Order: sequence, then C-alpha cells, then structure tokens
Amino acid sequence: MTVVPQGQLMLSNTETIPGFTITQTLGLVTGSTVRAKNVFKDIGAGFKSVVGGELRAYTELLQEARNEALNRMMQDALSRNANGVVNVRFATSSVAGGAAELFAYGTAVVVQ
Amino acid sequence: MAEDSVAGVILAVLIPVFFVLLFTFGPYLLSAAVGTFHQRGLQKRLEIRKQVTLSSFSTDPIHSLSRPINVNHPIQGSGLVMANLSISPSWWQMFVVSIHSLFGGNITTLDSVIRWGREEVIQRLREEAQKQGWDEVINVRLETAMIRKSSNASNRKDRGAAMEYLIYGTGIRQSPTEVRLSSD
Repeated sequence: MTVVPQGQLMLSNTETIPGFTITQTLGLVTGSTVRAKNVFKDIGAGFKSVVGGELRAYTELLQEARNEALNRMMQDALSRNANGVVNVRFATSSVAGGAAELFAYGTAVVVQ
Repeated sequence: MAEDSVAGVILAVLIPVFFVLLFTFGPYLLSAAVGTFHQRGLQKRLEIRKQVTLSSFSTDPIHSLSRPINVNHPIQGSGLVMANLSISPSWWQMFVVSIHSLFGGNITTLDSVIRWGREEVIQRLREEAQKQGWDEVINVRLETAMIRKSSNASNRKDRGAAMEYLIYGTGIRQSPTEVRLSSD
C-alpha cells in the first residue's frame, strides 16, 4: 500500500472545495477493497458481544480497509493529474461469508 | 433406605437439569447483568466527553449544511474528516429481540445501545475535528452498515449481530478576522 502524501490532493465531501474554484472536472474516480475478518479477532469480538458495546477489532479493521479504499481513489485521481476530489462518498457492502467491500468514490477536479 | 434411594433419584435428575439450565440460560443472565452495567457506564462516560468537547467550541462544530454557518470568515483550509465505530448488542438484548420478533411491535431493548452508538460516533467526529484543528465540520453524513447478520434464536452459533457506523464530513478552518462580502 503506497500512501498518497498529505497535501497533494484536497478531499471534500461538498460540491466544491471550500475557498477554491473548480476549473476542470476529470470524471469519477473510485477505489475499493475487500477485506475478510480475522478468525482470532472474530472470536474476541464474539466474546465482546456477550456484553455489547464497541467491537474494537472490527472498528480498526474497517477503518484500515476504508483508508486503503480512499487511498486507491486518491491514486486514481492523481493519475488523472487532479489536485482535488470533491463529493467523496463511501459505501459498504458485505460480500459472502464475513467479507466486506469498502468503496470510496468521488469526482476528480482541478481547482485554483 | 427407601428414603435414601428416593433422594438419590431426585438428585440424579435435578443435578443434570440444573447444569443444563445453567449452560442454556446462564450466559444470557450473565449477559443481562454485566451488559446492562457495561452499557450504562459507556453512556455515562460519553456524556462527560461530550461536555468537555462542546465546552471547547462555542457551538456544536458539526452540522449537515453544505456551507459554513458564518460565511463572513474567509476559509483558510479544508479536508475530509472521518470516524467509525462498530457496535453489537449484548446476547441478552438479541435474545429479547428474538422473542419480540414473534409478536412484532416496538423494540425498546435495543434503543439504548443503538442510541449510544450514534452519539458515540458523532462524538468521535468532534474529537477528530478537534485533534486535526478544524473549526467546523460541514456536510456531515452518517451511514450505517450491517457487518454481521443478526442471529436467529435457533442458530446458536451466531448470537451476535454487529453494525458499523461511519460518519464523515468536510472540516474547514476559517480565519478569525471577519470580512464582509458584498451581499447578493
């Protein structure tokens, strides 16, 4: 996983990047990742669900996976020479047997 | 002699019955007692954290409008802010829900944990915004996903259900000086 350096791309989930004007729209950029849960963490989560509350193992797993999806989206945007992605959205869907797909998408733009 | 054998037979029946009941309902009773206590503590700690964060901002910094509340302060920077949380109800709560689902109607058992989860994830976004130094988070969206299917009572292997909350928005930093823009 190559990490996109901070400050190279501006992300926003609003229509514009606040304080800038969009000069060019470069189309939809997407990034997705599929993660399966770890058996050992799953057993731990099973014990935790006796009392309810937060399942920290799942929270971290999904956070990590979502960052990966976001990162792939950012790389897609960088390959189109964008300097910003607007209207970023996330979607989660569970694929067969305990695997989840995390998906991030947005519109790549050039802003000034 | 006869009394002894009668008592022996009764004990021989009662002890296995006791253990069967213990291992069948014991976990649920334990879950009911410990889970209620645990979840109450979570709620209490959340209220304290919420007050601490809110007192450091003048108003609640997060909202779902697409532009900042005060438009007269020029924007100096922006970025995506995210927070997530996975929660699960306790076994006891799932058990009560499975009984409820026979008759339908309003399920108040899950209210506490679901409400806690939402407030907790919103609080996490506030804390994340504070950590990254944003003044305000605009266009906040909350999403919910089921990450583990809810159990049905007959399937003993999967008693836990889990759901994930995702909250995200655009954090903005505004300059402290006010600039009056020409109103149009």
